[in-house]
Amino acid sequence: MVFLLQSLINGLLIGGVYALVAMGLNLMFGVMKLVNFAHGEFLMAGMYAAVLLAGLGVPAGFWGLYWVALPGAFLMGGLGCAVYLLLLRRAAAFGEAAQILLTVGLSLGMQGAAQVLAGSDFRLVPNPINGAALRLGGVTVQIGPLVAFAVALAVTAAMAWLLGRSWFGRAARAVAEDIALAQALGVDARRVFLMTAALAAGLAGLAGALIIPYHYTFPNVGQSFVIVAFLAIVIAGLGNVLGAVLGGLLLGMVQSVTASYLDLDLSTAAIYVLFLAVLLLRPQGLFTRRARTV
Amino acid sequence: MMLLKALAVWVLALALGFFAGSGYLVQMATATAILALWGQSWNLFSGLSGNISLGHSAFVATAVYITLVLFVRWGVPPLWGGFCGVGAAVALAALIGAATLRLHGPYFSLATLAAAAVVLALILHYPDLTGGASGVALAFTHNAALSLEFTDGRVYYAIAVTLLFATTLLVRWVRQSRLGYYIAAIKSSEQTAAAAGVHVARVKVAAFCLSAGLTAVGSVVYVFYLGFADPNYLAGLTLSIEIALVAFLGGADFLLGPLVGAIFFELIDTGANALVGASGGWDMMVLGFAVVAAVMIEPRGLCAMAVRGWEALRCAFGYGGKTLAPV
Amino acid sequence: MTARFRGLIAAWVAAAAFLVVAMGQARAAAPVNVALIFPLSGPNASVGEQSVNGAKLAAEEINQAGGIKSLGGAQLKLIVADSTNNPQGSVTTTERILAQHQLSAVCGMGISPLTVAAMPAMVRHHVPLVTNSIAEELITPSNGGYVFQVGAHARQFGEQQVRFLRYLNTQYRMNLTKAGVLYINNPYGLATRKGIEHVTKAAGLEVVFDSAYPGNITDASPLVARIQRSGAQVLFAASYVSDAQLILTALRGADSHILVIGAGGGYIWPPIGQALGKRVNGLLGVAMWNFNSMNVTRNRHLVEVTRRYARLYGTFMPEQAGTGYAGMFVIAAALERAASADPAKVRDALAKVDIDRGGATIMQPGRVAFGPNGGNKYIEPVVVQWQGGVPHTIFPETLATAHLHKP
Repeated sequence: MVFLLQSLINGLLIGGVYALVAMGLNLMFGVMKLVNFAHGEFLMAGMYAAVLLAGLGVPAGFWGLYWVALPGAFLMGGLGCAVYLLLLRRAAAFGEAAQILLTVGLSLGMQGAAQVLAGSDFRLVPNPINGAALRLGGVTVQIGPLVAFAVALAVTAAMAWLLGRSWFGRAARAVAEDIALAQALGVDARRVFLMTAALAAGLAGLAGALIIPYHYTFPNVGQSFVIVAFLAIVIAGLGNVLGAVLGGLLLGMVQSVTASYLDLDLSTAAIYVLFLAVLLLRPQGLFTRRARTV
Repeated sequence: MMLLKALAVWVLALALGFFAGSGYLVQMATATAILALWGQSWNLFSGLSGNISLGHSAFVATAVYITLVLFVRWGVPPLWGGFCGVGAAVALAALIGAATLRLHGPYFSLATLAAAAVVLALILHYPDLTGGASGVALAFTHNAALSLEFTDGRVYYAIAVTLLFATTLLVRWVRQSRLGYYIAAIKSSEQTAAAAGVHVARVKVAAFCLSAGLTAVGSVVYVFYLGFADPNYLAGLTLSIEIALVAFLGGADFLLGPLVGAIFFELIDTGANALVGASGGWDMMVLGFAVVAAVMIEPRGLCAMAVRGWEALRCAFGYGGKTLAPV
Repeated sequence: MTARFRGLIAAWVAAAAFLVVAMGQARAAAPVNVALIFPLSGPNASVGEQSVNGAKLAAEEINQAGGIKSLGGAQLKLIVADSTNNPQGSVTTTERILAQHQLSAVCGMGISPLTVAAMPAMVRHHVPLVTNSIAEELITPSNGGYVFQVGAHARQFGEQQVRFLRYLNTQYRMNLTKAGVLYINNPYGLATRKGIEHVTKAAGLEVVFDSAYPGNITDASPLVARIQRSGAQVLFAASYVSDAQLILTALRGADSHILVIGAGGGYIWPPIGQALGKRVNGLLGVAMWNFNSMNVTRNRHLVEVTRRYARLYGTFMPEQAGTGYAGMFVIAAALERAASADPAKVRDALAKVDIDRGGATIMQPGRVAFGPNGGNKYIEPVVVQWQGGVPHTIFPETLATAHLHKP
């Protein structure tokens, strides 16, 4: 029983990170209709930004590393803006195929650039959070993943407010629903897209900043996370941003439970099989009532 | 007439390969031809119907592993085992195709991606049968046509080029056949096509199976040419993306698009590797950003770029006005 | 004979000697081309870079000491190329380098699938490959006699892990009988496991946990939960750096006191030390090479080499750099013996060399010669323990320079 609880908690914690990555991915798809294969590279860039900032000096104290890591996430928001203005703004008019090609190229290019700029070494900033854990009964909860999970929940709440109550949310929904109509009614679609790109990249960067205390940085690190995030958004329903959170948490738990009881090798196959089952039986997604966006 | 021209080009390509001599050039040309063949097969379904498959490596790996397992475990000659491999790939395509019929856009792409991932997981999970992650090495020192073993790389080149030509002619024929028109109709609108009497499901599955089968034929030749099967590459996402990439890059609307894309891809890839590969990371960066630049300049691919350039040139000399239709 | 006359003769002799030497230099033997083909991009780039760094250090040293003497002091000319991280890329790069340059030998790849893929090309072109990859497939008759493995092969890693455990049980009375085996699902992991499987029964060990995992995991806690539940007292692990760090951290978080014996890779390379800081001390691992094994520390010159590496690259000299360095010296010795830059003759010489002097003795136990299929006949992997932030050799006793700090 304790073992089951432990594996569920493990899954929930890693699921929080998947959720952050998946949320940005789904936001971008919902608003811009763009499947962004370079999304994982923003997580990678966020981690490198944190490592470089940490190189300048880390404030003392247990939580010190977060003070330099979190600003890195904002930098990623800026990078997202730059990518939108340089590439995606024009790519919006391209077909789906050209968009895939573009983001795949961007993903390769960013991985190469990271290696050129920061070298191929595995980087990790030594810090007290790494390996620190709470023990409750027989259950172990690692501090680093716990913080990541807690922040992911807080960000989800903030996103719920942003999408449901704010100007941005209304505009984004309008653009997602019918861009021509939205523009005719005076919504500035370009501005919505720019904010979407910044938010999506910022969320990936934030995920990077949150795992930096306990996860290595290397040029391809984004790949392992983004693949799960892809599956999570389909399971949740494409474009359903808050559903993506549930999708991320669900996949984290499925992965953890199969890995705990069967085999880690099989847990990869398990999430793909779950994914295919959802796709075939309920293509609109588990957490979406009908085909809708944002 | 067209057939005659194609025949002439084919003979010329074979002769060039035969006299090229240098192992490296022939090696590169073989790799390019097979990549182009994969791109061409991929284009037959995905390019024409607009359903982008990101899981064609599933067919590559299935064909390769069925052939190799039959060969290594039970001594079935690869020439015959190859047919079983291709058959298995077609069967897999029928299964995936039938299951994903209702899916469109990114749903279809991600479903094919997941299918390939499951194939990879299965290969890795049964190492006793497949050799697992260690892969299968086929080092050989003598010629045996039945086992597709040739010490001279030019034989593989000849086979690859011949297959590429055959596939290209087949795709050309399909484009102008009833099947081709059906696929084109499905691309513009499934509902309209269905209303017009096209059996959408049957056409889609048939085209998908044909695409997978042609991919599989190329894969069997590929693995014997390379002499090594690495599951993480053959069933991996990188290969799936590469296959789709060359077709798009050349231009999915053009018959010779995948060939142009494959040549461009191999040139940039090897060129960057040769020039800046020694200082890590540069080659990957150059390749990635070259792809980005190509898409930004002309999202319909290199062939479209060439057609546009040709038009501009004609206009500059006063012959403009007539648009070149894609082949 | 007058003093002046004697001086004249001396001057003449000196001038003649100078001329001869100068002429020798003038028709200075053409340089000998050796290619270094390693993954310099993608996830294994750091392995490739370390190997290249080590090999470059060796080539510099050989050239400064007068090059290949039997070839009139020919200098080694290195051609560095990126094998990329997939087998197709490895083949293409190898073919390109073989076509563009008149090579005497290739040193390469470091990562097993890349090396196995390039093997047929080497055989076809009749150019010998000296490798620091560990796959067993490389040293079978199918290599046509063109592959020479300078380090250990993966099965020896597993065997040494178990042998060391027996040593702990007899020497330190640790009485560890329940073992877990955790390995990355790739050729290195699989071969290591085969080696462990091979000897566990004879060692009286009960394997209570045995699992492969896919590389670059995002979370190690499910693995650690299973390991804890299995009741294993010792964990034999084969992983690269990223996964090793996650596994060790999760073990520590779960307050596990299991004894981890890594199979090289992530458990002994510099990044794990940097990441874990002081906590790395006490960690055990098997290495095909370590910079402070006895055969290195008792040789003042080799010690200087490892210090020079540390000054240049900022970390202690890692496993791959050591094997790259040794590989270059092995090639030089073969060139010296062949007295020819012809790759086929270099191959024949490689098959016959038995080196117990010079830079190649950096390999344990200080002597290198190749068996019939190109495996290193003498190689003995060592067990290292992190002490004071660097790995120290602690087993076998003949090569050890430190004692075990009992965990």
